[in-house]
Amino acid sequence: MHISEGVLSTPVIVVSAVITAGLLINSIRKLDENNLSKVALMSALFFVVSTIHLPIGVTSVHFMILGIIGIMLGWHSFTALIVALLLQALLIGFGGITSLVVNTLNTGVGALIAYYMFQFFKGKMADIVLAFLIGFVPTIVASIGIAVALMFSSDEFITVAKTAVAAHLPLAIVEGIIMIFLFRSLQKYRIKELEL
Amino acid sequence: MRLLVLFLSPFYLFAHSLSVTASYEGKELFVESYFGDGTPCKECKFTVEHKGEVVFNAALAEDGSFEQDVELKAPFTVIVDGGMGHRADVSIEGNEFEAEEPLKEQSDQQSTKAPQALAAVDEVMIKKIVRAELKKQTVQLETLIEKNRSKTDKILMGLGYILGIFGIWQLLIRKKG
Repeated sequence: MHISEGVLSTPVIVVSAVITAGLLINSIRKLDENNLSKVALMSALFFVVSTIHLPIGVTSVHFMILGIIGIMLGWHSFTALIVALLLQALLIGFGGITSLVVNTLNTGVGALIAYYMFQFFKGKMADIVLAFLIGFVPTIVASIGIAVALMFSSDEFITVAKTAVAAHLPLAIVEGIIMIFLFRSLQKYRIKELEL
Repeated sequence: MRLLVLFLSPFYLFAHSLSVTASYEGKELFVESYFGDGTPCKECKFTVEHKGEVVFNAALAEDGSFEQDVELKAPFTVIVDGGMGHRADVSIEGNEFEAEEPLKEQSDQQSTKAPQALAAVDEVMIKKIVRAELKKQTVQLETLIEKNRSKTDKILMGLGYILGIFGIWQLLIRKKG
């Protein structure tokens, strides 16, 4: 779920902008010709997939596939995500320009956690469990990020923040299941970079 | 510079995930709100603020619209709360109908003087009523056009931009190397 325009307080935006800028610079610095096409592909994938909404009660959340973005891109996830989120804000009206840095930070950190989970636990646990966790954990991390940003912006948003995390739980489970199938496909096609 | 404006122009058309349109003619307030995918903002609460103070609040109907006679003083801002952090606002700068009230009074005085003036008043009044009704319908039409704008088109446009951005990036890296 994207945080809309005009919702976040200035201190939250400024702090997020500083952190995101650092992470983004690190991401862009390491970017070279070989992985640019992968970044473009993942950015396009996120752009399209996050327009698919999953209705949950009175609200709806959208897919994020941060797990696959994270394990494919690692630190470059921030570059892919900021481009996709910027275009979503400007073209489709998802999120906003002022909330762009916060949305990038939430999703980027989720993707980065997926990357390190994959690097650390690869071969140490059953593939099916690892795949599920790589799909599940980043979604929860991103929703907690949304909740924290909202709570620090205004006390009015505490209920909304709790709802945001609760609404993402079913989505995280679905993303975990999707990740199991994606993981199997990646293994089948022996994606070189992943060394599956 | 003109090219840059042309390149960026589609961006500014869809800057908010929750959109709201409103008109205020006579005493009739019309508000309609919908999300980026065209679904109405069902039973969403909204407030009307005049000089930073809330002067009216109500909720939209199931179809995301509100139509009612309300005593308001322009300029004011209609703020819709779509829940889960979605907000949208629209400002109404002036009430055309209200602005022309003195003219009506003036015409009323004239009407007592001559029968021709009475005919003129009628014409002025009719024009105002037609204009007010047309304004409301225009707002509704604009909302309908915006809602029906294809989401697929926007997604394809976005994919095009992504390819373009990273394509140019790739070219720059190659040139540098």
